[in-house]
Amino acid sequence: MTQDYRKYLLPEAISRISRLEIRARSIVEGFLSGLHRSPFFGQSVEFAQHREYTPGDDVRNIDWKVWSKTDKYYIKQYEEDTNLRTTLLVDVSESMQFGTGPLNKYEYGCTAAAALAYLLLKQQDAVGMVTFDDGIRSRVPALSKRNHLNSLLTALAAEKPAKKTDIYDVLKEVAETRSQKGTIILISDLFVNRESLFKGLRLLQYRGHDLMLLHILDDQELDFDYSGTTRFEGMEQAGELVCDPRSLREGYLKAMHEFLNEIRRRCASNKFDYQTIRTSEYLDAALSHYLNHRIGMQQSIRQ
Amino acid sequence: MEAWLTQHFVNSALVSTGALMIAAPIIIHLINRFQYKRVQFAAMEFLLQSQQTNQRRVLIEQLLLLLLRIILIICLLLLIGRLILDPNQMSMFHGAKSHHVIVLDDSGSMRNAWGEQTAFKEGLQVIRKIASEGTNRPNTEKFSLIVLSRADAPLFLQRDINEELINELDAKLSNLTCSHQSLDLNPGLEAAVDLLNEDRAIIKTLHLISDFRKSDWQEKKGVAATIEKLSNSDTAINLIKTVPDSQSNLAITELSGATEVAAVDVPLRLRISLKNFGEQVAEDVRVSAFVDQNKLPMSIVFDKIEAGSEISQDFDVVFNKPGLHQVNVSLTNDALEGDNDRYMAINVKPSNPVLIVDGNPSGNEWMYIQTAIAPDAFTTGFAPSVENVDYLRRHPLNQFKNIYLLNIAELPLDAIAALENFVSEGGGLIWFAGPSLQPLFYNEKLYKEGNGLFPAPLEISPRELPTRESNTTVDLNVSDHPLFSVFAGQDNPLIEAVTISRYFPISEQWLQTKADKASGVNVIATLRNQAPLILEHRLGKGRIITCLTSAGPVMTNEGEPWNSWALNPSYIVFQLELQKYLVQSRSHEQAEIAGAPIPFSLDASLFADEIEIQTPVTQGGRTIRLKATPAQQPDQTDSSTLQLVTVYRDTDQPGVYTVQLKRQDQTIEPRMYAFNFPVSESNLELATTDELMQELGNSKQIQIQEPGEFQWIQGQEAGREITNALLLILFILLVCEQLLAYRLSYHPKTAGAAA
Repeated sequence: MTQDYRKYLLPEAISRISRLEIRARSIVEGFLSGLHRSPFFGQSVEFAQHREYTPGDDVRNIDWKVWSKTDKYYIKQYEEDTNLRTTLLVDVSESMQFGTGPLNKYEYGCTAAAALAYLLLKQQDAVGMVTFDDGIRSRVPALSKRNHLNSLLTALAAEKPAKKTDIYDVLKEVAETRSQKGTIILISDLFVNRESLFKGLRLLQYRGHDLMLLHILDDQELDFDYSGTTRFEGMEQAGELVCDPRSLREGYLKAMHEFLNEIRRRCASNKFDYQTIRTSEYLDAALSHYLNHRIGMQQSIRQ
Repeated sequence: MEAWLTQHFVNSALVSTGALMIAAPIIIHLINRFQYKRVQFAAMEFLLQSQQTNQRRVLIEQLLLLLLRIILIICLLLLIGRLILDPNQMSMFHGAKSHHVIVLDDSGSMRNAWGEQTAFKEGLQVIRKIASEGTNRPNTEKFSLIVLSRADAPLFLQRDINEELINELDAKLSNLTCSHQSLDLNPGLEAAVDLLNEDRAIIKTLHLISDFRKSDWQEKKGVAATIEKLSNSDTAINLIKTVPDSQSNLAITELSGATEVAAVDVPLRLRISLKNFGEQVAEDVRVSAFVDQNKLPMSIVFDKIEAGSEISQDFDVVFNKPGLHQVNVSLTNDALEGDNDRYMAINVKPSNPVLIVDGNPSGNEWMYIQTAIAPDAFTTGFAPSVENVDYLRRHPLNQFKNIYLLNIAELPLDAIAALENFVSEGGGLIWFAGPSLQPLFYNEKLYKEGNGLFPAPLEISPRELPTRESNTTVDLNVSDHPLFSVFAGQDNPLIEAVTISRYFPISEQWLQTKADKASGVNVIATLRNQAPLILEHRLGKGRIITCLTSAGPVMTNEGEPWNSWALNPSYIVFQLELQKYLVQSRSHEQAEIAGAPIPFSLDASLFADEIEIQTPVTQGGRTIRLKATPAQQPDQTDSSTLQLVTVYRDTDQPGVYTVQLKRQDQTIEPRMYAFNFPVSESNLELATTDELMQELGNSKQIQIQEPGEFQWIQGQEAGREITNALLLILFILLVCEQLLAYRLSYHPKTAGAAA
């Protein structure tokens, strides 16, 4: 694959993203002005409150001025300012290569990831990225520099997806390496073992990450509009089948809905944000969903 | 297999090739199975899951669909191949080695014409169509053709239908003409039965082509029985009508007269009868008469003939020359041409000799007879000669038409033999009693217990009839006999005036023991006291009239006449009628029915064996020469003379056939035979299909084909029921196939809803 990472910023998508930027900026500004507070505390210049010292707190944060007046140890807490760390977890396995529209799932997923990264970077947020198939293919640390976008896009473009997805190991590794809490956006078709998926996700949640799943699926995977005798060759060595797709359509759709329902149900029960996105939908769907999600985060989980 | 196919399918050739079509759905299925497109698919997990759960259902559904499509093709194939479940139901050309026997009715009524078409031509057309249809299935069809007039010699006998046969058939049919005869259907059908019984293994069809007239079919148990026999022996019977509608027809049913007494210059009264066979009154019907093909300057006009009735008229013809003459009468043309003409051959004599033998030479009874029958030689045509009893022994008698025996006492035995011979060959004999009569001789030698010249035994003496007491009764009571037809009716004053006072009574014992009719003796006139007076009986071909009183007013011993009849004008009428009546028995038929053979039996000592026959001039006369051959005479070797015999059979054409027999002395003896169209063929009323069915019984084997319809030849009617059923099945199958295919296929709307 060439290094033409710019193809993920198609003019159409960019223009859409540009329009979205207006909405995004107002939301970010609102966040900065307190409408959208950070759910976390961090190192910042803006003082938030005092809290009594408990052993284990960083002694650097002790407000000696208060100690001098009251002879009690208080520590100063600040609003964490630009500490929104978002990690884009992009599935680049072989199954993502499937697509019947102008973009396959991989391309769509990468485009969505690029757009999100662009938006986040514009907001001065730190964006990191991990691409994976059966293991982690590339890892880009979370930075908020404007020119960081290039390295993100390069990570996307450099991948040659070929192998089977095994997600638990990946998620576990991400959990171990991403010690700072943040938002993790998983962009995948989720054609993986559900148990290991949710096990991994729960691990991430346990580590304090906010999780968001963008489930990319092709139209044909959802509608199964094939006709005529067809030989289906499974990606990722999933076997093959010659059949009349019309006769199996009903059963397929049923199985697919069961799969989607299961994912939806388990996401709901684990409080993961989940959205199915068709590859035929506008590329801004992911952004819209992301922003909606952020608005929903006004109900912060501040500790 | 091929035999089965041809037996059950009209288009069997299509079936065998079309059977390959059954493989089409399977082949299409397999092609679809192997010609697939490849798709790289990610969500195989769900697809495999679906396949696992639906595998059996999909397999069954697809097999069902495949089966439905195969059945559809089979149904189509059956429709195109035209399946017929019951081979007998097929009217034509359905089976392997089927035998078609066609019986063609060529009786006179088949000449029935309408426009340019005749029933016979229509029949020939049907035969051609049947044969040409048969060529479509070479080597499976046999063909026999029986023409009714030659039922014993089929025109075609079990021939395979092929091009050669068609050519031969064309040639033969174009030369085939309809006969003028009245023919019975049964011999033709019997011949067909024999033919069909010869080969039992094949499918048999009898086609009877006829006009199916009512008169041919009503009460004809023989025909019905033969047809029933055929239908019971698994033979399909096709009755093919050739005439669309009953047509009215006028026919000359009779042309007759006392031709035996025809004499030169004596007017001969002929009778012509016309019958109207139609349903409408015929008016102003004119009949022309011809003598020797010259039209007579008159027409016989029938003003009105009611439907179904027969009317007769008399007309007189005078012949100027002796010899053979032909008379024919002719009507204007109508539906049936044959019966518009009627022919008659008349041998006109210079005069007709009659022998009068008077037993009493001194008596004058002969004079009364002579005066009565020949007052003048040219007015009645009779030439009486009066002879004595010895003449009977010494001279041949066959030159005379009739012989009178008046008041004969006894006859020599050789005279009796000569007379018996004369009468047996058709001569007329008239007895008149008289005072000389010897009853014992009569009873013994002439009565011969009913086998002799005299009709009944007599009492031994003549008897007086008591004198009349009033004028209201009559002495002579005549019966309803042709002889007395002139006197028929209420008023016959002439007969009433006759007085009879003496007669010879018939033996009482005979009267009591033998019913007169049973013994062949017919009492045609009685006396006042019911005693028989005039009797008639037959001997051989001839008739004998016996009058038990005298021929003239013979005086009794008391000086009274036996009767006064000879003085009465009715006597003359009676004598002339008697002449005509008696000669009729001698004449061969005045005219034969067309088709009857002319037998010749010639005395070899008189005639040469050459016979020349001239067929009717009206139909382009031909001359035919026959040679007579000596007859086989096993019993009589030396006593009798050698007879030359032959038979001329080709007399189908109505008209007068002139025969010239060559005598040994090189002179020619001409004879004429008239042949007429049979009257029984003139009634053209047709039997309806229902009537036919009623007559023949409603057998499934019997099909009646209406005239002018030929679809049945192609078997288009056969298997119509199964065709309808097949169409219905096909429709249901199509609906099922569509429903199943719809169910198994993908439809975007439902897909959208599901998604």
